[in-house]
Amino acid sequence: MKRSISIAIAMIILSVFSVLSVQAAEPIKFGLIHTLSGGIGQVHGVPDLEAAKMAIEEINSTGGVLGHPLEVIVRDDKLSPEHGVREARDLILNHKVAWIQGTVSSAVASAISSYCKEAKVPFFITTAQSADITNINGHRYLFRTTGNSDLTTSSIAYAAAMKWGGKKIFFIGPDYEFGHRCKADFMKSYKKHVPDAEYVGELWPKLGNLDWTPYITRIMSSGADFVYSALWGGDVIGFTKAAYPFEYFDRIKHCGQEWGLVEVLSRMDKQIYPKNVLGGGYYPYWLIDDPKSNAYWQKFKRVTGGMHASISVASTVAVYAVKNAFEKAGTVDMEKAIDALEGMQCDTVVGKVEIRKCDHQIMWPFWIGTVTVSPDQPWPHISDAMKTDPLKTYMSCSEISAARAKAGK
Amino acid sequence: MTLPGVIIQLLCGMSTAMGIFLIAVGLSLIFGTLRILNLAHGVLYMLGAYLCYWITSVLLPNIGGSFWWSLLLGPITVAIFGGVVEVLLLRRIYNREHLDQYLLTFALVLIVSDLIKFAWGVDFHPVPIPPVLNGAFFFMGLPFPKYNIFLICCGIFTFIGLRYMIYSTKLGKIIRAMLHSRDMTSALGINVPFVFTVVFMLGCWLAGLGGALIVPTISASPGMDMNVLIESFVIVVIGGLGSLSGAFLGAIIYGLVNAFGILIAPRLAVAFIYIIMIVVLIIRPWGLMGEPEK
Repeated sequence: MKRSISIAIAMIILSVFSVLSVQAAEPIKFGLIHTLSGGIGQVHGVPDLEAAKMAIEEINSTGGVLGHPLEVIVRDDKLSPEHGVREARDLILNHKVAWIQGTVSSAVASAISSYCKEAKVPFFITTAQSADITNINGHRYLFRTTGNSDLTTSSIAYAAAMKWGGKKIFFIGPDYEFGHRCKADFMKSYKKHVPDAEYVGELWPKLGNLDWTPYITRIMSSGADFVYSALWGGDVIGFTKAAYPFEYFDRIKHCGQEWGLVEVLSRMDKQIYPKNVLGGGYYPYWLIDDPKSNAYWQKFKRVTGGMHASISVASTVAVYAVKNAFEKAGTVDMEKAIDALEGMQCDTVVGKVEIRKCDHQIMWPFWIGTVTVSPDQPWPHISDAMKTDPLKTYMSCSEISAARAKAGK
Repeated sequence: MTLPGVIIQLLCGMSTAMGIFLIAVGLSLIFGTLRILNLAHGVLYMLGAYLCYWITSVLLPNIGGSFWWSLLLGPITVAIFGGVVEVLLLRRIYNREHLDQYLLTFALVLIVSDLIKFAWGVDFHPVPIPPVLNGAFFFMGLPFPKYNIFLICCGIFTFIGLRYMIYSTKLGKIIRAMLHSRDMTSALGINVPFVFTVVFMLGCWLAGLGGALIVPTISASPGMDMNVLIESFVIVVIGGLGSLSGAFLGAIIYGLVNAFGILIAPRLAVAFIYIIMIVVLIIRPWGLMGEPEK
């Protein structure tokens, strides 16, 4: 009797001690830098932040990471590389964050990446798409837990070639690195299917452009077989709203990787939307019949008060990837965690996906479908979607090695 | 390019021009009379847009014609807000250096932007086009949105209305007198501070009207003020600071150069208007319709 009482007391003491030790353990802080206040970028920034918070809450409620609770420090990059680097510097030097994640603009991501390389603090890109950041300019401290422009442009080029196969293409995209990269990559991929294709016109509106009407009429008078658009975020919403009264979507064939994203389409209604546009999606959860996926998007919607998960899932993946890396390494030493991250298989809502060792790029798949409306979905969405194979759409490791060697990296 | 295509592009340019004219003319009017370069003019336009959203979607969502109510109430609210700002803040710095005025109006930009974010968040807030203006007119088979035609008409009517006010009313005569000599106007017994408040409120009303009229073609969102402010400055520099007709002409030049620049040389479309601005600044620094400082 005495023995069992002693064991019970010891167990209580141990359990209290373990709880206290979790509470007393130093929190692991990380920084989330995203566009949270700018008109165009916050379409992705706000859901990314919510996705990270949801992961933190889940992890901390089950004892944290090796006993350490997670804590996020949030910063707004205002869609500016200068702001992004300033915030990264502050997070690393003054707040001693273990890692940084986020950013929607490739220009901001590129700037933060350079600083993180110098500071030897990992940076996880969760939204920005320009492939060169990880392909040619990749380094030990840079990871990407979302897809990149290699994946999206080759997927959309394949789908456009299969569906329309025209030779005269019109391009519209933002006038910075990402837009130019998309334009080149799309044509490179498209020519594999339609060798004599060419651009018959191009437009480079400024990011966050407000007056779309001259661009729309210019496209409509071009005589192109179809339009490839690298517009993203709020620009897709603005373009759609301005284009609709021109009956643009009835008259022009139009495709673009961002045009099927839930973050964008859920901000439109069933009357004014990019009808019949060929658009892409990173996580079209209504097309994925999987209990883990269903639980994720339903919880995300509940805790965020109605937001829709899509590309923001990359933010959750980044937090869990670091947690798993720490646990695999058995320590919260970040250098050892980086070793553990290389080649890691992440168990995600779209199945197992690998963080490739050669460029730290996650092998996330992509879906291409036609934007439509239906009674069972409250917003426009892609349907009849095909899932592209990551192994055929990302640059291979040997291609990346060659590209880096050519660039002298 | 076919003739209908050119006409459509011309209408696009005019629609852009008349939208931006509503904002630029307020900026020009305030500068001409108060001699204050109001950096907060863009956020007043943004406030007008958000108020339009709030009235149509929150205050009067189920009332037919809520857009028209927002067009009435939104700009008036912005004008009242402007009046309070003028009386409490601007009036105290009229005699200070321009740098102090810039700092105060820039502080207003930051404060009002944050207040807007606090009140409405950072998401996009669409405002539907009223049913009567939905759809398109057809010009030789090519569609052009009815709402953009409405925008062109609003710009032209506002210009005519302002011209009438400036040249045919007592207030207009006082404003014109103050443009020439503020001291002489005061010496004649005119209540200058009161006129300043009225003119500032009128400028704010125009900014609010611009916001309420433009927002159905875009969406209310943070940051929408900065581009418009820069474009407005370009227009008043080309047309002439303080000149009503200059703002109108500057806006038309801006709209048409933008529209046909996109059509002819899209890579340089953004640069064209700044090239024109630089040329005007060199050849005629007081603007095409402005008058040199005496």
